[in-house]
Amino acid sequence: MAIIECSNLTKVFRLAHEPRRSVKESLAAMLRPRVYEQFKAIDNVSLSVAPGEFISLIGPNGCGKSTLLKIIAGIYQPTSGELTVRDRISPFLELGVGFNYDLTARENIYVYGSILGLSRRQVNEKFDDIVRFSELERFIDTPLRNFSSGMYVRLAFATAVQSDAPILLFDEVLAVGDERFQRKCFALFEKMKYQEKTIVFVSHTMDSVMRFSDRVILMDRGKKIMEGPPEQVVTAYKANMKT
Amino acid sequence: MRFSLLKELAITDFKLRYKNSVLGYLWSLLKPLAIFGSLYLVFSIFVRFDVPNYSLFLLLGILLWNYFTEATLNGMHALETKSTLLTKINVNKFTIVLASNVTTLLTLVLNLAIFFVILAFVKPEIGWTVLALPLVVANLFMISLGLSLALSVWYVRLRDLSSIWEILLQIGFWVTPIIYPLSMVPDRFLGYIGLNPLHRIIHEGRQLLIELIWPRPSSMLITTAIMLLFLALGYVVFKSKEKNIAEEL
Repeated sequence: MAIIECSNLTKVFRLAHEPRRSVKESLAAMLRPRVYEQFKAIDNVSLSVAPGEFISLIGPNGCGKSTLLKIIAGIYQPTSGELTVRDRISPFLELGVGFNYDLTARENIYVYGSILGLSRRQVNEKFDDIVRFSELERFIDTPLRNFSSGMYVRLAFATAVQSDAPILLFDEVLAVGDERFQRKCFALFEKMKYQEKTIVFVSHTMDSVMRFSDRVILMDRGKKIMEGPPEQVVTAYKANMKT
Repeated sequence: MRFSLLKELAITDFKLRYKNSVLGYLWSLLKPLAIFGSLYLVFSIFVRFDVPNYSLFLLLGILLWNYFTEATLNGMHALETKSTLLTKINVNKFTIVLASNVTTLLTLVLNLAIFFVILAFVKPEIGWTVLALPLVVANLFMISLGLSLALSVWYVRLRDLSSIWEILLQIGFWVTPIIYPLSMVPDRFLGYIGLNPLHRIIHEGRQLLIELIWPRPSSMLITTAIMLLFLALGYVVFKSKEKNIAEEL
């Protein structure tokens, strides 16, 4: 049975040309009809992901990959269509979203961990792993505001991957970090595949898409236009981009 | 699981609120104390109210009202201040608003502890009635949470709400018998005062801690029922709006 199932998902955003954010604007807007522009970010997309599968979503900017990921993550509600997710999800749409610059790395690990659904005890157990993976042993009691962006990302990634959810969503998280760190991330992906985690991966880096995916989905302007083995879809995408 | 998130968020917020400040938590006590000091000066020396233990009467009223103000204002902004989080992870939004109220509750508990210290100096007697104090605090917590829930989702759409609510709180402070006793209210207004949920809470708190008398059980029951109603209504409003909140943030 599929672990993630989307059938005929559509997401329409209403782009208001005059947003009403205050009473004055609301009163003024009452006098005239409001103009909306409909924007279909996701257009009738069906997709099913089997447990343990590594799926990549590719496509040009604005094609709806990230919106689709947000719908699967439960952050956005679809306008129409059905979404069934049969297990727990950990979304990594952006790293370190719960981080606070005034807290130390140690405190942030606990906060972020709890946001990802880990209990304090679970974080305690994994604490050493997180610190080792992030290579920030010396800075563990330093406030985050003194961190470089590279250190920040390492800490975030190291904490995020401790999540024990069986479904993981990644949005362009490999675009950060130096080569050595990326290698570590790749090793981790291998491990996750071995652990048979279900992964939905959004990326513009075709090398990593080719390397890990079981299946690739190409999107454009909100529609799913192609689906198949990595090599075939990536080649088609590359050819498409040139024209 | 949700409990560990609640705990982590509430404690972190509490820590952050006073980080990089020399006096730290003391500020949340100094603020109501400053209001208390100036009002006490005016209403016990310039204008005199005939209230036994006026200082305690006033201080308790201010501490409880102050909680209501802070909890609803922080609660109203809770979703908006966590917008980066809410647009990236499907965290439980109820927990976020609840955590902000719990943070403020920690302050109230500390402030009440200090109230007891002052009580010991001013009027060193205490009754069994103190045992009902948790109910008063729970009632206050419920109405504040109910309003926070509704305000937090409305605020995302209507930013004016912040100013509107501040004005309403200002009015509320004066129409609630906080600095003046109920006995000064003309008879024809008494009915309206009775409708004020905050008055019920503060009045019962004073009876229990200062006058050392038990409020009528039926009256306490009605108070709790009203607060539960506020909480329930707030929750319904929240539930109806929370699904689409990530797009509005």
